[in-house]
Amino acid sequence: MELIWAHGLQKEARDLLLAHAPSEYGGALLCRTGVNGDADTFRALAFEPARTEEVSESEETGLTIDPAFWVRLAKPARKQGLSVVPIHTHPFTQAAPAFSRRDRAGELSLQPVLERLTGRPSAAVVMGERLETVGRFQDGKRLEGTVRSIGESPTRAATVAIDSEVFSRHIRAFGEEGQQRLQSLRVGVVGASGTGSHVCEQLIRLGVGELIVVDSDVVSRVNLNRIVTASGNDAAEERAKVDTVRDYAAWAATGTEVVGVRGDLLDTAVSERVRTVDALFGCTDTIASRAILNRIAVQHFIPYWDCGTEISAGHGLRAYGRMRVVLAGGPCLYCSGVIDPEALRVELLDPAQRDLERARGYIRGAQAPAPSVVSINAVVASLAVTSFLRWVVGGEPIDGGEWIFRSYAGDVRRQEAQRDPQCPVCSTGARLGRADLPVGLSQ
Amino acid sequence: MATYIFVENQRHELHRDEITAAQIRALGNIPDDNHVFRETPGDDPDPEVPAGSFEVREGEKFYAVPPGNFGLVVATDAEAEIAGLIAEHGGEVKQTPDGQRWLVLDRFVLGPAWNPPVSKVAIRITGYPEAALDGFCIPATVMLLSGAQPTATSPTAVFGAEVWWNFSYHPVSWRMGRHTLRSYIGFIRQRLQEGR
Repeated sequence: MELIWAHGLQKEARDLLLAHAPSEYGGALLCRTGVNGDADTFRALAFEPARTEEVSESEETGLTIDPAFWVRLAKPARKQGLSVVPIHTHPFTQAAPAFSRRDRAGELSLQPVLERLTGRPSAAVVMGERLETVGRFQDGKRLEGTVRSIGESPTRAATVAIDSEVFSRHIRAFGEEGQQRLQSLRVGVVGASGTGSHVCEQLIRLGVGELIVVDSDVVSRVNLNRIVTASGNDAAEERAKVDTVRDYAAWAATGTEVVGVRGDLLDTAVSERVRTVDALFGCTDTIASRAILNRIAVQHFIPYWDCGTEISAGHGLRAYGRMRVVLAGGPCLYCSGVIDPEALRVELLDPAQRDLERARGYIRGAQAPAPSVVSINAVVASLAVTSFLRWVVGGEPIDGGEWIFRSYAGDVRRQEAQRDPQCPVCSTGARLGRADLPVGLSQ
Repeated sequence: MATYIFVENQRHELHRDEITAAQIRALGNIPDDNHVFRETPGDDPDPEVPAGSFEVREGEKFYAVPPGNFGLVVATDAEAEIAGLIAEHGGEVKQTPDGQRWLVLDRFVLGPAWNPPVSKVAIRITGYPEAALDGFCIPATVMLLSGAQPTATSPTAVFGAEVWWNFSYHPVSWRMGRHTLRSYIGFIRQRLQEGR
């Protein structure tokens, strides 16, 4: 079993609970679980500390939280379909903390009551100085599992053999375990054109296990300036862009299996396929695709790297490259203002209606192809893939936010975004952790 | 006329329209440390039943909720506790010729106010768990980030010629029988976080 913290929540809980050290303290996590068959995964969306008047004992060696605390949380949790998961601290414990006998006895009596009151499975979390452990009773057995934040990649068992010759320089950089983690991941890339082909190339060279590449388009001669996986023959034969990525992987021989999905993300079958990945790159230039990828990231707790470039024509090479990391629980593309509701509405119109609105002056701006330059695409792809690599190999959790490359200044700047607590997409009461909801824009 | 109520999802027949919390506890065989709540409609939390007698209505539901009861059990096996700390931090137990017993932890996080921020720490554990813990040292090669010697310390040759800063630090809130080596480490951390 596994518990995944929404972005920022782990630090919030740790700071608040361990402030009571050396005394133990506690509260509850509100989690989403049991959707799409992943009953053993608890996604922690919110944290509620016990109020001081709800705690009858808080000592170095013990903690008692009054029953009224659980009853206070149970009704709203049941209404929202959330699990209530008790959490308490073992201050000063540096390694993964262990449940004490008293912890387990307390959990044994509390878990079935919380499950009955909320109608959802429950568990318990014990928090040390740096790590947490999650456990629950199930079918008379005691299960324990790992805890990680959305900013940390899942640690998989080292069941994959690695080619220590091909990846010898990786192993020097981040060890065999890092390479094994790369090879155990399934990564989605939506868009296999200018930036997307660079992202695919780098992920293939890194040796990720499986790449699901989505693009509906074929290669044409106008793509040859920037699609690094495509050749002149591909353009002449009008081959699918996703097929060029698959051929490139076979040619590079680094072991990555490429699954090409020739389709549009607006197609439910395609978006359903994409939500099965461990990590997601968005390299599209449509707002609708971004809106769907944003939903997948927020609802399914899948880290999402959004890439984009912007070149001002006629100003020398005044170009911007933007890379945004969306981590469930942090600011999403909607909070950051990337998804413009009016532009999205226009994009979703059928062509006839769009032409009509344009003729009536409701829609401004020409629909000319945007400029695109291979080197700018490569910078953005490298920023995104390097951030992804940090997420994979661990060390410390990555952070969400936006990184902007400015060609004229020759620098990369980080821009903070604030999460909107009322965001219709990523707020706790909206789509955060709602893996049970469809991600399509018509739903 | 009989009234039906539900306690812990079990239906019970009453021949009166009043009941006490104690009677509900008896009907549901509810443990003493559990509290009894009355199920109510709406979004407000369900209320706890009053201590005295109160009126019940046909079909009302009552349920018990235990406290959240957590805690580290005070270690009775000091050697297991020491072994656990060594497993976490690396280190060893050392005996000195003067009869003192020290736990030396190799990778102890001193905090950002220290140079280096991670170092050895030695804790005098002579007589533990019966004896209180109140002395610890760090190597004299460790300084405050400012380069100064830590305050209220004296250089001491603890293990042979090796010099350590001996902290004169006696936590006033030490309580025999409640505190452990781990909670003493908490006091050490508090002192080191003061960065002086």
